[in-house]
Order: sequence, then C-alpha cells, then structure tokens
Amino acid sequence: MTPYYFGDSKSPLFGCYLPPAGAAARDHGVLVCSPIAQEYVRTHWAVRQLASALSRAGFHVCRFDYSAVGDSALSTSEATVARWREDVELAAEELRDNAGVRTLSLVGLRFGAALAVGAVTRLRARDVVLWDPVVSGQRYLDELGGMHASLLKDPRRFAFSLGDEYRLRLAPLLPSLAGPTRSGSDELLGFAFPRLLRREIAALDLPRAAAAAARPPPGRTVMVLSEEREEYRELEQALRGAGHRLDVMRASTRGRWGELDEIENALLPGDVPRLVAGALGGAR
Amino acid sequence: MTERAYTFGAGKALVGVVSQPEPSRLRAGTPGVILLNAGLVHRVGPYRLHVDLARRLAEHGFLVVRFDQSALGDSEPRQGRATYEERAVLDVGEAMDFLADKYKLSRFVPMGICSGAMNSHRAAVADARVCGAVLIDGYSYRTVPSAMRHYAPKLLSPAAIEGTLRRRLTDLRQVMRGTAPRALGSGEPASAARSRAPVSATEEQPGADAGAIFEQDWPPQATIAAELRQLADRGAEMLFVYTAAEGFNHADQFAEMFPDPVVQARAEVEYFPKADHTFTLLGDRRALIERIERWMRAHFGDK
Repeated sequence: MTPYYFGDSKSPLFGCYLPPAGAAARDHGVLVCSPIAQEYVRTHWAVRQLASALSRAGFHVCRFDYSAVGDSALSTSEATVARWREDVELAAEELRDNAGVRTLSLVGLRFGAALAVGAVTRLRARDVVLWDPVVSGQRYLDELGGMHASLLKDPRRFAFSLGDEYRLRLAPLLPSLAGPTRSGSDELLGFAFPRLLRREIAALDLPRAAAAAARPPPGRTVMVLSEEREEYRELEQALRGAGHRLDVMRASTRGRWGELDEIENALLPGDVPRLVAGALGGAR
Repeated sequence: MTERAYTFGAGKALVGVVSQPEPSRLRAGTPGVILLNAGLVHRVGPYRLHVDLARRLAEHGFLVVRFDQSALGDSEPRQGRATYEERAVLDVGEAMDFLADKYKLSRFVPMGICSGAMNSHRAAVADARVCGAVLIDGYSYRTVPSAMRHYAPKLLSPAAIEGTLRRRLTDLRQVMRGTAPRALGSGEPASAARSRAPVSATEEQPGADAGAIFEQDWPPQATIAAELRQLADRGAEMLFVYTAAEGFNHADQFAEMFPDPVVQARAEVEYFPKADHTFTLLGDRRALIERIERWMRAHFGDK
C-alpha cells in the first residue's frame, strides 16, 4: 500500500494505491469512494479491509479522502458536493494513470455511493457497487440532525450542571427554558455542514438521478445492504426501471447508521469485502 | 504549510502524515510534535481533531506527524509478542527516529487523547528525547474533595435519583424472579466479566488486540506520581487537559492527585467541564486547539 498526495499542490488529496497482490493482476481498477463527516471516521477500517480484499483479488485499487475530509486539504467548513464530484473524477484519472488500467469500476459506501452513482457515466465505469447508499440527501440530513439534537442532551456524553439538568427536563413543557445550545447551527455530529453544503446535499435524490441518467453502466450495478430501509426499495425500483443490471446482496453486519450510540464505534466490514470482490468478478 | 505522507519504522509498517511549516517559520531546536491514536480512531483523530491541530501547530512553526500505531488505521501489525503498551513505546520511538533522520529533529512532544495520553506518558518516561507532552483525559484518580464534588450534587440530580430508583426496582424484580445475573463462578455481574474478555486478533478487527486498548490496567497513583516527578526532574514540560469524562471534576483535582511541587512547577492544567471526552462540538475543539497552541508557543515557540 502506498500512501501519497495527488492533485493540485495547493489543495492536494490524500490517497492510498494498492497494486494487485496475491492473485493474477487484472487490467481493472477499482476506485473506492468513502463516506463523509463522522461516517468517514467510523468506516476507515472497513474501507481499508475492502480495498485490501480487492487488491488480493487482483484489482488495482485506490481509496482516497475527498477535499475537507480525512487527511486531504481544506477545512471541513470549506466542503462542497461540487468539489467532491471533481475529486472523484481526479482520483479516477489518477488511478487510471498510475495503474495503466483500461477498465474502471466504482465502489461507494454511504455518501460515497451517491457520488459514485453520479460519476458512472462521466468516468465510463463498468460496474458500480453501492454499499448502504445515502438515497435521499434531505433524509440523510434529517437523520443526522435528529441524532445531533439527541447528542446535545445526552447525559452520558456531557456533564450537565444541576440547573442544566432541570432546564432540559422541563424544556418539553416550557420551550422557553430550552435556551440556546452550545452547538453552532451549521454543525452536525462534530462536523461543519455550512449552508451551501446542506443545500447541495438536500438536492441529492438517487432514484431521480438514476431515472434521468443518459444510460446505465455497461456492467452490473450491485447494492450491498446491511439494513432494511424503504428508500433502498425505492432506489432498487428506480435502478431497474432505468435499465441497470442490478444485483442486491445482504451484508452480515449492520451499519446502524441512524443510531447515536454507534457514531464513535468502528464499523467492522463482516463479509462485505468478500461480497464486493466476488461481485466485481474477483472471487477465485 | 505542506503535508506529505510517509511509511516508516521497521519494515516501513507505520503510516503517517507530516505537516511541515513554511521554511521561513522553521527554527533550529524546535521540538517535533507527535500525535497518537485515540483508541481505535485512525490518525485523523476524533472528528478530525488531529488534522486541524497539526495544521494549526505547523502554521506556528512546529513540524507535526500524525501517524497510526502498529495494527491501527493504515499501519501494519508489528511482528513479535510485544504487548499493546510495549508496542506503543516502540511505535513512538520509531516515529522519533524517523523525524530525527528525515528532518534532523532531536526533541519531541507527544500528544494524545485517552489511550493516546497514556501512550504519550509511556513514551515520555521511556525516552529522554521527549521534552514535553500533552495528555488529554489521561490518568485521573479520585480524591476526597473530588468525591465530595461528585456525590453531593447527586442528592438533587433528577437523572441520578431516577437512575437509582430504576436500578433498585430492576434489582428487586430480578431478586423476586431469581434472575439476578452473575458471571459463572466469579460472584460478579456478568457484564463486568464480559468487558474483560480477550478480543482475538483477526483481519477484520482494528488493533491486533483491540480489547487491550480499552482494558488497560490503571497504574497505582504512586507509580504515576513517581514517573511525573522523573519527567519534571528531567525538565519536561507537561500540559494536562481534562474533561469531566474520566472522574475529573475540578481544575484543582490535578494538584490534589499530584501535589509534588516539582511536578506542579512543570505542569499546566486545563479543565473543560462542558466538553465531552472526544471534544465532539466544534467550539470545544477550537478551544482545545487554541489552548495547546498557546502552551506550545509559550514553552517551545515564538511566544
């Protein structure tokens, strides 16, 4: 594994390139698109394991951090979805140049899956794998917002003074007691989500994007799901309707994306690396 | 400020990112800063704290490396049978060797939260090249005043009263049903025994023995007091940052725990009573970074 910075020297991206290891090298690169914000932190180990499994299956692999995420340049308050889309294209170009591969596939986890879907046509990707994708940007923001509101009132996390305790308890009856929180309005679960970023995320609608896309990828679209969600069924229908050759797989470990108690727990990948390597034709 | 990614150490098994100040800001003799993993979180730190902190310190002329200890983040497991604590000291030693070789640095300041604080302490005790350390929610021991500060408000706390009533009611129900849980043969609650169960090393599990990170034995207070004295005698500067998470409940508690005037002369203490253990809120993180920057500049920088 080679860690390195690439792209514009003023705002470089951090990436890790993994050459094929163990199996015969394929003329096929896989770009792994990670989640964002706290989901990026809690999935780092799982993404690393996924990339290693793909490398062992003979693929050239690149995993990388978007601008304002992880080790890449910019502060979290400078994040925009438009920039992340450019980052995906830049990382794909970098992988193609480094590895000299003709075929490229995309694997995305959570928000990374949404970015991967949007990049399929431009990058002429063969296959795309969507692991627990963020399907609706607005629902995603609502879920983060709900967890953030609960976090601020969590006595296991924050030590409240007696006055604060009584104030929080009585606030449902007397809203005026709720008072201002210590959290900024642009903040969700430890990360800045400025207004522009929220607007861009809220506009994300994967089923609509799939229906509007010029054409599906020439290979397969694979959904790897660790939970039951109505929005996954909506996306499944939209992808089939748009002509995708779709496979749906069940993951052995649950992401628990909407559970506040999980936000600082590392996601263990379970059987997902094996499933994804197999889905891309790498199981040997 | 520029950043570069490196692999270093035995077999190039450790992965780190160096934040390097503009050449005009570099001064001879300035110590390098080493940021250590907090639990299983990879080198970017909880909520990306280490990235923001590294960049801020680099802006003020400090060269900073944030790296993954062996078997964490992007780093490979270390060969051999060293324990988690021993590996941490070896890892930090290799980070110092790397910075000494590559950037000609000779003094170092390790920093970390929680397990990162304990490992910073271990590295400082083990290696005379360490001239300072920042320990965030590190070792904390209850004192008589801290116990009074802890228990007195609970008499009036609605959460504590409710919790006590609930526990008593649950105990009573379990006793009446004969279902009170006990670990087999230990006479202790099953949950306590489970929390010490060893975690096997698997490829899917970060940290070759991840359980050891969270099950570290808290050394006797006298041991830590003696080691702090050793560091103070050596001239090492120390910043201790506490939240209310680790049984710490007043800025004076550090002096109650470690009253040695020689240690006190070398130690600064900052208490963030409103912050949580991982400094989740942006405002808390900003305040923490500013405090560390101020301390670094006062002791090792351009003031």
